[in-house]
Amino acid sequence: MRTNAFLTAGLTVLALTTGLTGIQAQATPAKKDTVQQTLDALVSDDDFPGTLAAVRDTRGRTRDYTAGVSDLDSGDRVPVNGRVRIASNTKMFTATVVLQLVGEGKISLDAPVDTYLPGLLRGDGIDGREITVRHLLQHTSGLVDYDDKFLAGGYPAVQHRHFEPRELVDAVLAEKALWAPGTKFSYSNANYVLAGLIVQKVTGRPIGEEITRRVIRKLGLRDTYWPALGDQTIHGPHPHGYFPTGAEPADVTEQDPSMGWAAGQLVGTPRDLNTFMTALLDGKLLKPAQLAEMQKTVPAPDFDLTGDATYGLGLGTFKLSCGGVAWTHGGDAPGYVTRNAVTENGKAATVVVTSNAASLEAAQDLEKALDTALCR
Amino acid sequence: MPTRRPLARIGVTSLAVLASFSIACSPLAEGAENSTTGSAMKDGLHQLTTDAGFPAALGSIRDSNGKTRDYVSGYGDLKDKTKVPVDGQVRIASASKMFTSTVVLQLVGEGRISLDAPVEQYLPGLVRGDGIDGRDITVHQLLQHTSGLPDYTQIALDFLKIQHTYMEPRELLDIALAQKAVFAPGTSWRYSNTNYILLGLITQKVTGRPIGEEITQRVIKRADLRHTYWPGVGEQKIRDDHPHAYTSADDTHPHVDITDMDPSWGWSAGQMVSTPSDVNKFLAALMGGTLLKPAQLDQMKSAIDAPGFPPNWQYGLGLMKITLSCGDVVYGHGGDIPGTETRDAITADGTAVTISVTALPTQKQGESQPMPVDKVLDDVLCS
Repeated sequence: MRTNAFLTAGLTVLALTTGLTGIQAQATPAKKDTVQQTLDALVSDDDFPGTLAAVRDTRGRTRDYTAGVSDLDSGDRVPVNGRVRIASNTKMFTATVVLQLVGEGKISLDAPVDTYLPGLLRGDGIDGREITVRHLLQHTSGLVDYDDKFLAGGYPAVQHRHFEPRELVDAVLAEKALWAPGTKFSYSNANYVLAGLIVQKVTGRPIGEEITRRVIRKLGLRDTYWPALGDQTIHGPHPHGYFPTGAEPADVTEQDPSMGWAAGQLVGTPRDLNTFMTALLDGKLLKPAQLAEMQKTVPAPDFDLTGDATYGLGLGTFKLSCGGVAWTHGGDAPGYVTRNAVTENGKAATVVVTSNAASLEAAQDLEKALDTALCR
Repeated sequence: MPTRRPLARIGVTSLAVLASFSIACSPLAEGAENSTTGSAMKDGLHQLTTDAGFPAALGSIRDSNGKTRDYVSGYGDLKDKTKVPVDGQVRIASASKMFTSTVVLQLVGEGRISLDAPVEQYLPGLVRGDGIDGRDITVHQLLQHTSGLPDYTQIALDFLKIQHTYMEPRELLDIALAQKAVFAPGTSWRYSNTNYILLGLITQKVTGRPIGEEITQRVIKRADLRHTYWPGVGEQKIRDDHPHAYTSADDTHPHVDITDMDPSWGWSAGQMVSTPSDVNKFLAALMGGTLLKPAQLDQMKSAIDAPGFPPNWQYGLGLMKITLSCGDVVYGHGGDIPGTETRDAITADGTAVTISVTALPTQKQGESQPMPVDKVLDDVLCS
């Protein structure tokens, strides 16, 4: 779930100095269990317009939660299990497809990127003959991220902009590498854009199609989809997403998600994310050898706000207050921040807020809400 | 004679190869009414699906008042011997270039693209190679094929191997940039799909939107083309009623059904699907001034000699100027992709004709002058 300062499992690292104002949010009347109270507090204390969550117990039974409003103008309620931009959670899907292809003998984890994308990765301290597929999936390639570069002019400037995947790669190749491949963890969306390009090269099919066929359909995730090229809307019931900018939060529900691509383009729901994480850890998507590779982690102190995180291949760890760790990713899109994890014994939770955090405390409270959902 | 493997190329001359068809009999062309042009069309389509051996031929005539007559001949599906869907959808291949060019020229009219600006201005640092430099190639040269950029489709890609392969537009550019420049920019003429891939990328950079969306909003919707579309990423089927498209794999497999294919390697140089009547409707809208301001339309029509193409063809900006055997001058832009050849043109008085066949000409047919479909187009327009 990666957080640099207080945001960002992915798509955005944005300096947020303005708090949300004018929120008429009211907690949805519901049974006041601990999770509901936590969600209510995210709205009342942390100024998130809306929040939605799903908690799936070890027997597969799910409880849904919402709080706040879906639309700051109308005051409509947040749809139960509404669809949201799951952002960097997409990386779990991309990593799963890559690891399936590893299991099929079509990709080798320790092969250099050059094997699949010859000549593409060259730059200052960057050489595709030295960066392996594993380095990409583990965020140890030493490649910088492209977010800051494209967001330098503010999010509104790129909200509706289409990016070619290769444009995202170009941006990173123009910057010096952070360090030699394999040295240490540094989160970069470029790693997963490259993983997407590798999948396309190996399968001959678009990454969105491979994710759809190999993961979404395989698990029957009916509320999860790869947005078509240029599609800026969210299909089906969904809360509006807000971006704290200026005096009024901006409604950023409609946006071009191509800046995320294989690193963050998917739309999904809390329930579907729980189903996916549970199935993944149950071995329903990967062979044991590849699942084990996915769970081999390196220290990733800036992946979350606790500083205790580690990161495997498209999967991180989240230290629980009740002991042990859960497997997680999380994602930050403009307007939607998702925190989600599954415990070793198969309990899964996903909590979404419909605005980027306006303060460090708010971001920490969201992480705590996930902890509450898994530990209570 | 051994049959060559079909190559993945998009062009306006027949470049891929097809074994001769031997269909014993073929239904007569069906048409709505008798007229000189109608008779010429019926006879032509019949000839194309009998002597010339094409599985199906589809034609549409739009008169200057917008009245349309559609014709078909041959079989929509060789296996089941089904009729050809009237005004069925086909892959129009390089006729897509007219759409891309129209969008670019609209942006020129809006002051957002300059025809004489170097490619570098829009795609900094992207176009570099042996004899290739984006600082020396202008947008105008891309539109007119005078850039000297190598054509990525000239690299022998075995079509049947990439029939279902998705390719990123930038991969197509990579293939081209690994080759040497054909000539220095502006010094000669050579048709190259690479030019139109770059125009797609420039449009995206300038508008911030996908080229398919710009074509859809600015051309397809504005001209009210209801049967024309830009296939989505990974979309391999043709959406509505359509004839099957064929190529030959070898002597023993002369009619391989290649209707389903990933057209991504055509992208803004040749990815679109349309119908004969919609192509006519587009030409009428274009020439009628619905799509471009007069200055840009004039630039589009301003044509130069196109060595290597038939001598009666000249090339403007994504539009060809064709002098017919009867002396009339018409404008259009055909397209060839494995499985489909299309020819289209509009006269000065606004009569538009489009003909598609569901296989590419054979090597021999491709080398003939005029080529079979071009001859029928000429016959209809001169009748």
